[in-house]
Amino acid sequence: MNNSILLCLTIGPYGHEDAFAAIALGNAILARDMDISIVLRDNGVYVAHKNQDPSKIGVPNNLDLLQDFIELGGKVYVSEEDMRARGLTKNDLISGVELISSYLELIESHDVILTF
Amino acid sequence: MKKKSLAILLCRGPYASEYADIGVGIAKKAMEKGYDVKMFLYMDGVWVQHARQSPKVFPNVGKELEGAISLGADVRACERCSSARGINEEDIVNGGKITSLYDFVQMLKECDKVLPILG
Repeated sequence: MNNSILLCLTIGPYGHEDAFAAIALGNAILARDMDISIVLRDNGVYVAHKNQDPSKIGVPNNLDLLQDFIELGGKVYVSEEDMRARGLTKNDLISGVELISSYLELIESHDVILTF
Repeated sequence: MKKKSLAILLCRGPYASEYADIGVGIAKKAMEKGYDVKMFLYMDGVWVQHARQSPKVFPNVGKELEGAISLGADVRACERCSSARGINEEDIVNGGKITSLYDFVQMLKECDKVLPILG
């Protein structure tokens, strides 16, 4: 029986369906009372950018889904190294996310890892 | 003794890459090894159970999937992803299903092994 899921998101918002689909899956997992964390790394760090606004390209804002995830009790971690490599600081990100320098501990503490 | 179980999350469609062939191939091999196999098709993965694929050069992965289902694989596809692509019940291979994302959450919870194939 698997009770904890680590969802590793490496792809940024809007160019692909992956970020939307991954967070939607995260919310479904939360709704079934399983333990789930999302770690944003590589271009996935852009998914937590607080000023994203896709209204002019006619797609849903992934931030709405991510904020739902946090409000439902999901944990969101962001690779600090990948964030800095892209010229971002924590001030560019939504509140409620935690910066991490390694996610080895997260891998060790979850039963299943899904990488998008 | 209870059979071991494997859940495969397949997120890529056929022909643009070999991920669909790999996923279906692993499903068949796992059943040969005694696994109870469940497969969830997500995002472009839902195309894999489209019934009217007609590749001129590559092996028909829809037929391969139908074969896996006939051998016992439980194959389900995300309803939201399927409807977005115009894929309905009448468009899919025999034995395939279009269901809720929550079915994959249940697979995640219950299966001994989980194999995500996302490319």
